[in-house]
Amino acid sequence: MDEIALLRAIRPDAPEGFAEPERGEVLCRLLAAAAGERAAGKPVPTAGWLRRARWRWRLRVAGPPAMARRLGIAAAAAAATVATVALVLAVLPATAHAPAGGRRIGPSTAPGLGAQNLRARPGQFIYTEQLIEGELYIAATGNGTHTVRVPPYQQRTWLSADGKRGMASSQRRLKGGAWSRVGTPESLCGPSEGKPGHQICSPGYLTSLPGTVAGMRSFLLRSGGPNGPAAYRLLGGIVSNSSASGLLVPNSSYALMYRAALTVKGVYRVPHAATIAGAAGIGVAACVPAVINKGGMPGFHGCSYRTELIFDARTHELIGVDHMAAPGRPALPGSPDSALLSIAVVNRIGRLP
Amino acid sequence: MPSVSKLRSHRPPAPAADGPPGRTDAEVIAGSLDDPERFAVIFDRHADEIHRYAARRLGQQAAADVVSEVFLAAFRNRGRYQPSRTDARPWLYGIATKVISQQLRAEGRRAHLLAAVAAASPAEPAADDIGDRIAALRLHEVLTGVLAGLSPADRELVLLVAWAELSYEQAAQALQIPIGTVRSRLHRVRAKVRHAVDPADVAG
Repeated sequence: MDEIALLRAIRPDAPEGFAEPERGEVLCRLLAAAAGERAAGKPVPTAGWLRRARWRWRLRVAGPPAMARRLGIAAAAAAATVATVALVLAVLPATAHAPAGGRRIGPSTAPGLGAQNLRARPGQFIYTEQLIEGELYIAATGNGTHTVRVPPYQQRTWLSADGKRGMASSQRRLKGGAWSRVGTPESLCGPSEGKPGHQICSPGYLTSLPGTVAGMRSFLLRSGGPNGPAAYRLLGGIVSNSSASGLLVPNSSYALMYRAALTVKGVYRVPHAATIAGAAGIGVAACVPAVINKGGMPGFHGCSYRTELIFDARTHELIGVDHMAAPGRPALPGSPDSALLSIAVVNRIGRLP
Repeated sequence: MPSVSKLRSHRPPAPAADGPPGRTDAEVIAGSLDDPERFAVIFDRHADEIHRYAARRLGQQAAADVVSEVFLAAFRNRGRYQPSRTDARPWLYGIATKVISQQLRAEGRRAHLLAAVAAASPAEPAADDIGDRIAALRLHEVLTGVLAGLSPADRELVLLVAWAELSYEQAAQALQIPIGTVRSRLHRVRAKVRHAVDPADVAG
């Protein structure tokens, strides 16, 4: 008689795996503890050379794919009036990016941030409010080109959770002014490739992202476009599938994105990061390949410019996208900086949380 | 233009979060002392198993909280992990045992184990015969009674071996007791099971 086997036979049934979303929430708590320990430990030197002078760029034709480009309609509408390909350049003082506790450019509060796993139903809308700065257009005129700087502004976006009810956005300048709707509400649906007559709608609430680090890494690399080094593509994939593009993503997926990024050669951890709105977090960063800046593909010939994604240290939500350049470097195109100020689920376009 | 290598000197390169596939748990834990987020690899490797054990002990609703407490406690105490132990499972089970015991004590649910076992349907008897079914149900009841009658220490041990399927050595590591103690306690438990199942057996 095997007594242990007998006792094993009365073992209650249990699920084989630790299912989502509980698994993701537990992992987020663990990663938050790790981030907290890192923050409490010896300070990691910040990249002073990057913080001293700040050049920010935007190249619309090289922006993040799909949704992010779509959400650029606000500035794109203005840009379209002056140039086909518009670059935005701005020089800001170092104080513009004061760390947490320092000066904030945007609102000092961030309603909605830190919320645990917002959920949306079909028919609802994902509301995001972002602070955006650093856009610069090089406008083509009959006498050559001139630079147009766009002052920092706030942008509100409503994205249909299921993608079937479209999207809209409005914006205003930071120094007062009313909110103005940008363009007309757009559809998030388009023709299905290979299936004439069928429409595919891009949901604003992403619930079926990969559930493993390896799966997320592959997905982000695919989402980040075909060109450039893996680190650059992966960060682009995160931007395209996150609140930076107006999307609602479960915190567990953000935690996987953060971890997936750190598996890619060329992606660096930034233990103490801050968004342009002053919110502190943890970041991942990668060099922007110079040849991409020049419009050529592909290659990697230096790292004078870098993209930094900032995550909330507790929930791992993406809360900011930042672009930096070494001082003294000639201006090259990049993307504007953004900080998430608020995210919520509302019932119709125009409604505020 | 600054070279890439120069730029990297400002930020230490981030090691792969998954770690190389061949890395042992001990190596991953050692690496997590400098790179805390690397500890998530231990979570990836063992969370399912710890969750399964916790679900069997306390039910599914409480299992997620147990897993959370186990891995947070493990993370905080990883500096004391013995590098010679390549497999972290016994260590994690040891923490899980404490967390589960605390929960049972805190909630005054000493009988929770019995409730969990009773709630679960006994293993479906292979035999179709009604007599065999009754015998299986009776056996289930008897074994549940044996578990309930064990001392907490013996019960934790036998469940690690029978339900978590740890080896004697791993169970000894988990409970931080000598392997000889594991053998003697299990011998005692085996005797109780034998006697309960077959009262004629008085060897124990």
